[in-house]
Amino acid sequence: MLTIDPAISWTLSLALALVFGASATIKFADFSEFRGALENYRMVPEDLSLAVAAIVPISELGGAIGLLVARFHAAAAMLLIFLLAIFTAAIAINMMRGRLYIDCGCFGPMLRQPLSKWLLVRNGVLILLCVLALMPNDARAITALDVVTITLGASTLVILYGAANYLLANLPASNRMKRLAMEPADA
Amino acid sequence: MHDAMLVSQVVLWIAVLALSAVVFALVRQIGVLHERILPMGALTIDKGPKVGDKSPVFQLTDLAHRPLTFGAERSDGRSQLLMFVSATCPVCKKLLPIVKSVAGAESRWLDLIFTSDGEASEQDGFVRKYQLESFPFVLSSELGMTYRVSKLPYAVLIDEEGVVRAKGLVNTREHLESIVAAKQLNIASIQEYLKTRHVHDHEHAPEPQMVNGERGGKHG
Repeated sequence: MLTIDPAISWTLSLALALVFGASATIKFADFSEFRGALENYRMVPEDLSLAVAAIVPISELGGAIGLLVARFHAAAAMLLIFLLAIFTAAIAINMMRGRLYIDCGCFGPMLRQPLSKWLLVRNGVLILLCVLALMPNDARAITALDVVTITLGASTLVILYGAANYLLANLPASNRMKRLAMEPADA
Repeated sequence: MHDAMLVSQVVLWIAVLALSAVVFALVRQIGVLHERILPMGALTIDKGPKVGDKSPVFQLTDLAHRPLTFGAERSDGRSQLLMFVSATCPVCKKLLPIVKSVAGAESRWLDLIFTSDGEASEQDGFVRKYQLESFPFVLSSELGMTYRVSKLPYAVLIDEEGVVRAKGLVNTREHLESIVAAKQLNIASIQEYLKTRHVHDHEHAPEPQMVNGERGGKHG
């Protein structure tokens, strides 16, 4: 059976826990906006949108906390993989419907992102990280240096994840700028 | 040797963390720059009829097939607030109850009109769900094109003479109230409203640029 170094496993778990914890907090903070974004996906009947809009951030938060508790670690990782698979499917289906203009709803009003293939790539990477976190650890004691690696490594991953999402959110504006640069200037 | 490795490891991690923080800050700044360069972040998009100009007159029909005139001089002294909304915009949904309550509070002098474009059948469900039946709801792409509306929800306030008194993107109750207050306080836009407040706050030090959604947050 393939195993993974505990320092790497914990780094990934902590980073994923922070990402999903933040994601759930943002959704709770502006719940009506998230519900609106969810309705735009047109994946659930409108009568159920309130329930689904509540279940999603609760599951995210549960998964985030569970990842850091040894007993629930595996179950939490599987829950997050399941959630990510649903999100990815919802984005892919709406892209196929041509509804690219709807907001992803990933970060609430703080960061709007239209649907794009990059969101699918991003979710793919997150699923991969969850799978890695699910792998059994090598039998090795965690040292003080590992604690440094885990905390600073996870913080780095979270910040880079935020930066990547900002880049995605900037994408429409930067594409528009490219188009503007090609067109002759008019009033 | 072991100590040296340990120190180097910790120092490198700190450096990596600092570098990613810098990358994050740079990417954020690019986003802010985009908002400043392009009209997308502006609360008042500087196109279409200007504040203080006369609005073009529109003869419209609402979803209930009642005739409606927007932009004409009115003898009854009532102003009109035109709200551009859409069923697919989450912020609009959040703002609808606020719009209705503000319009209710100002109903002595203000008529609220909703407008959107697209299919009438799609809007019917939207109107029913958010209980907008008591307000005229017009489908017109002409209105949006004339006022160059590129972001929703967008509001245009015209007075009894058909003069545009305020317009702009409204994301919050504060934005909407600044539009409605524009008539009473004679302020053209939230930028001007904030600028006067800003100048007041920092006497003798007016900011050179107080535009593009400084307070409006993300409109992207």
